[in-house]
Amino acid sequence: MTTNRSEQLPGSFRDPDGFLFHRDGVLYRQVNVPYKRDYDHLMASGLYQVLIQADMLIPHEESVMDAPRGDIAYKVIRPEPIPFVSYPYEWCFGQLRDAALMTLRVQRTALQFNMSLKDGSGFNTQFRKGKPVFIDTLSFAQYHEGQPWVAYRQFCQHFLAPLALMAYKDIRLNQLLRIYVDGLPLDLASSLLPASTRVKFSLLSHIHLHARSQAHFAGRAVNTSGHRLSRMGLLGIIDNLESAIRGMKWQPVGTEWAEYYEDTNYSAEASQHKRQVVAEYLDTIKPASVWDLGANAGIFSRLASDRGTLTISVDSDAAAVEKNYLDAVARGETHILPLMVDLSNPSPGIGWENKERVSFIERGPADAAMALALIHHLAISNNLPLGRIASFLAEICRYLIIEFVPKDDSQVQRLLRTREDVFADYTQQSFENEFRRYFALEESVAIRESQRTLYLMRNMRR
Amino acid sequence: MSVSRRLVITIACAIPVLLILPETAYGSVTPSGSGVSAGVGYIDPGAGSIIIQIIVGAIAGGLALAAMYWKRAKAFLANLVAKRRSNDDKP
Repeated sequence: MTTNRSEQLPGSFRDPDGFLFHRDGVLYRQVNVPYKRDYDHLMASGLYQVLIQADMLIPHEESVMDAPRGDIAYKVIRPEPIPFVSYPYEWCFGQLRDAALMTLRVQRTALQFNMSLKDGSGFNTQFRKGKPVFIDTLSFAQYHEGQPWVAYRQFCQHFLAPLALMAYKDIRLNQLLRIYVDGLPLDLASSLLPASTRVKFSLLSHIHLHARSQAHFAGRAVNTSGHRLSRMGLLGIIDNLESAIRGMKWQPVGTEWAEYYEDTNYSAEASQHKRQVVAEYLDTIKPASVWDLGANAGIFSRLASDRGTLTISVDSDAAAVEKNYLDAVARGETHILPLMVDLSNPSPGIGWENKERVSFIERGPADAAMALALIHHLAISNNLPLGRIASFLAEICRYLIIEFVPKDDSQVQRLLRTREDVFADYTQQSFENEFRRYFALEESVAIRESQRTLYLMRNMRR
Repeated sequence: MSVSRRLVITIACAIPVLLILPETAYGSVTPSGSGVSAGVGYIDPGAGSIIIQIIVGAIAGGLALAAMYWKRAKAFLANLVAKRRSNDDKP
């Protein structure tokens, strides 16, 4: 039973120790009575303060408001909101690796205070100010010497297996996380990984033998209560997982997209002019949030993020997103979040009732969207009619900064080189007509020394 | 660390695991109706995951312990040599 003003989040129901809910647009977490001892230990032992000081855990304040389920409530807390929620299947290799290492750091720190993580899900991590942070305050349970790590299986499925597949098999295999909502089945990971991974002690034990052991005991009622894992053994496992993950590398080279910015048909003058016009548009609309769609390595995203605007910088190419993320980390950027999203098939709502994880579109609308050097990829490479592109963009933003790339442009000609031109409607006039159905065309500028045009549009329906 | 050295260490570590798994580990777990009790938590830790964790933990913990003692032994020897040298230097 919840009050009318409270709405429990659809993705927060598995853990009986509490749940997240919205009230009057603010996010709260109810802590239930069974979690009282663990919560008090987390707060009183010093663990909470250490994790907060190290930016490893999302801070919260205790609230005096009425709990939506007062019959089972111990406390209500208000966690600091995450400006934009993202999911592991939208992260590049570096992001998933950093999230995994952060989770292990949290577990190691928790053990120093006699606590242990009771789940190891990738969904317990979010990116905040450019860094991964643990968001589930109720994940900490008191640790007693001899207990194994209950979240070990989940950690291997959510982090180790996908990272190993990305590093040793194919970078695109992280997309399996979109299908398997509780992480990759280890038997699947084991069968997909190359044989050479069996000579690495960590992968042999945590994935291959782990999968074998799971198969051996599947469906059997087994009493493991007499089996103890010493603290030294548990720390050994954490060390081993950490060194395995640190040893995984993936270099974003060898794709046509990684060097895309060096491969544009812009002259220096055209490039400079485009930057100037986009910056002017951003200064005109002063958006609170920007989605840069087809951002590549995020050069234009930074025009927005460097102005202090939260910028979600999306691209479908793993190498481009990796480069974008590594650049953001190297520069210590806090307002940009690179994500891997294929606009022709953006992240759907997944999990129970298709509601546990929210679709990409539902996480909008953005104050402004940028679609620079994108429309020809959607219209020609993906056969999307201009009208459908306009209606999609109208659904996700209030303002739109969009570049029209005409058919005569050499980049479009390159796309048409290997296929029949069935795009008679792909003209600037038709583009403007279709977009006028949803947007007011506020400004447009022809980019110097190019055939392209930049538009600033305002959504008439928002 | 060279590739060959890593390979030797991996094989040396893997052999006991492979030997232990079908015999001691799997054999020592007596099937019963009491279910898995691996501590607190709302997720199923998985019996197979607990068993492999205990075995790997024993090895990883043992290696960590061995590394710690090795470090101490090295420090002790280095200290001993340094002392002897300083004694030799004395007139």
